[in-house]
Amino acid sequence: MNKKTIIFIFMLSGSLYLISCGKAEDIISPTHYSRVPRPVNLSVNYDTTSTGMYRVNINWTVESTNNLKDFEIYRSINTGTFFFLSGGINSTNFIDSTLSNTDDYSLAFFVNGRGIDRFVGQSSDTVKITVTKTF
Amino acid sequence: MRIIILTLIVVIIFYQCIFSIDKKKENDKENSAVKNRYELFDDFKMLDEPGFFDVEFTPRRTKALIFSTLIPGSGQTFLGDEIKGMGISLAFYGTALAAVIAHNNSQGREDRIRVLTQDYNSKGNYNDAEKVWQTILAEKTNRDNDYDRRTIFTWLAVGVWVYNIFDILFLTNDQGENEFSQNNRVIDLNLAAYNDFKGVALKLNLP
Repeated sequence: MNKKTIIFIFMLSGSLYLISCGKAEDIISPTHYSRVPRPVNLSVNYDTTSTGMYRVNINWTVESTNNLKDFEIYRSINTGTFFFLSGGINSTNFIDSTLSNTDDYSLAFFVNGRGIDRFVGQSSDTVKITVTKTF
Repeated sequence: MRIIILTLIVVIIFYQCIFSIDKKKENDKENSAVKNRYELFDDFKMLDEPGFFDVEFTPRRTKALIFSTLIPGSGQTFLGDEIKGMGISLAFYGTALAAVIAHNNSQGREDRIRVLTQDYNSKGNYNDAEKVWQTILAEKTNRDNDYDRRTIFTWLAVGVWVYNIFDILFLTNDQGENEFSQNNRVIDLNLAAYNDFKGVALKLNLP
């Protein structure tokens, strides 16, 4: 065999070896952004009950009900940590009447949608309100 | 696909460079049935002065070619140009090692992305899933950089190897068998034994 042909074969086989090296695998598409609809347009208002409690009404909307089971709501009092307030809410509104009308409070709420597959979706924006006692 | 085409083009150009000279000579022979004495004189001159791409495959050059094919730079050292040989060896193994390290890193990151993907799929809420997703994206960026580095250094190593072959064929002169023992280069690197000393000796021959 000609020596030049040997060189050619060496170069060709080397090039083919290099080309055969693995390529990057594609990563998955993210599902968590749209898996459960996000509550939007949160609004809040309040009044008082005849039993001396605050009645805080929180309303929101969702753009679809795909994979949507229920909602859960979190509350913060006087800029403290958010705590779970209620879950299993099957409507797009909630009434918080757990605070007595004896003091002023700065309240904040946000809502999560919960999927049929138990995935907890993206939280809504936080909505704030200050409730003041009536004399 | 682009890499395959580029590779084939480079290989074909290199191959054609080597063979085109031989074909030209054959054509010249065919076209020169009758020549005057000046043309014959030119032919003799051409025989005395080989062209750039004329390769004389002496046994030593053939051996050097085989050495350089297997270990880039070793052929140049064999022919007596040890500094160039050392440089080519360092360049080749440096780039090849960098390519191997980049490949290794990319495979490690590929595995980590697989683990993170499993973690992502098992998350039960948006916030945790988002954290893992951001980690996956960061890892993907790093992995893609590693793949880019691997590609760059691999082709650099290929370039050094091709240059090494080109150099051994056309650019390195055979300095003879006795070059190692008789030359008086600026730098000598040899095994040495002197009195109780035995080891590697680096000798600087100052002018």
